[in-house]
Amino acid sequence: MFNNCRGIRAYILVAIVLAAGMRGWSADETVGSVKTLTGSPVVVRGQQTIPAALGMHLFEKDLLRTDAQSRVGFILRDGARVSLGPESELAVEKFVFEPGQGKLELLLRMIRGVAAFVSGKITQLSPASAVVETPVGMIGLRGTKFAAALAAR
Amino acid sequence: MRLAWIFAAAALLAMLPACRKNPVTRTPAPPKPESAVVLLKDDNGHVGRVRFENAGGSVELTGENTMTSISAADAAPAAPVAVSADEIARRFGAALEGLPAPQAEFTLYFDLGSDRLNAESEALLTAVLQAVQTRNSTDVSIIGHTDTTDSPQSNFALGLRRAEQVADVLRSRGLSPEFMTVESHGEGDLLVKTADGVKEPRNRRVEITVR
Repeated sequence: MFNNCRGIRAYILVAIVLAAGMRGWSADETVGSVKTLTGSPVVVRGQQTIPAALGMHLFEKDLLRTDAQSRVGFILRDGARVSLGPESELAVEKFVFEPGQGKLELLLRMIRGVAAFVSGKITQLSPASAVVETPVGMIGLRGTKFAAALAAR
Repeated sequence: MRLAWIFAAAALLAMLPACRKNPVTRTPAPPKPESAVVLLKDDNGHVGRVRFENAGGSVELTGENTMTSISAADAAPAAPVAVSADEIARRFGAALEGLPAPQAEFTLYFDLGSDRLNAESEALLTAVLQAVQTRNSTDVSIIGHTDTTDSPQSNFALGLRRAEQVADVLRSRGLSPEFMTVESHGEGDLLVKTADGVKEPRNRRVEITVR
């Protein structure tokens, strides 16, 4: 479809401008932000591994990872809160929060470790749309506060 | 060879009564840790509901501090059991301690057709900025809304003007524009559901969320 990178970039730029225009200015794709932190957790974003920092914005597909000395907590734009204990890994697979359009979806993928959750507006407005996927099954969020620990494999 | 085994077995059997008299307590191998999900009371004292489901079956947690254990993706989750606060702290404490504070929400109201902040709203913005400070927030949403008087198009524009007006004041009072997201939902997200063309003061608002 595109014979060079610039073409793709231009296309994406147009798409972003159109999307921003429809939602008012400065609509970005932030899904949440890092709020609590101990040690040196990281965010894996595509091919990059970035040290997590307080206030850092998070995006769909971001994966958060902690080592034995680290913890990290974040808040999503629907008010949902998540925190990871040491040696844990969790990805924000999908986050759609457009209550005006009735578009609501939350999919967190917990890979290992221990995590605590407090659900937000997505769960409140559409309980069937919020899920935490784990290697041993799916947690359906009906609200509000719960925690999960995965056995070491 | 087999004979040797039989002798050994017989020797063990002979020792049994002695064993019974003076049992050697052998601690059983600790059970393989299983995965677990626990339902807790939230900050408002509310206990919700959580459903766990896999290829083996499903279970629903409805009681405070009830937990299900899961041994494998194809094994049914165990029936919920109540667990102690100590057990919860031991297994889940490391994650629970790091939960961030909840977001703060504010609503500012506007006069019919107006995008001007009134004195009451100005005062509320001080509380908004305080919430930003205490949370070290980098993510503040400002969403403008209108009632159903006028057309959807002009209401979208009015909602945006209201939100921008609020953002301007917050910016002038030191909040970085990078941390603000400004949007309009026009008349599409009514707080009080009304028919078209209805003047409803509670719908003429800007909602601010500080995360």
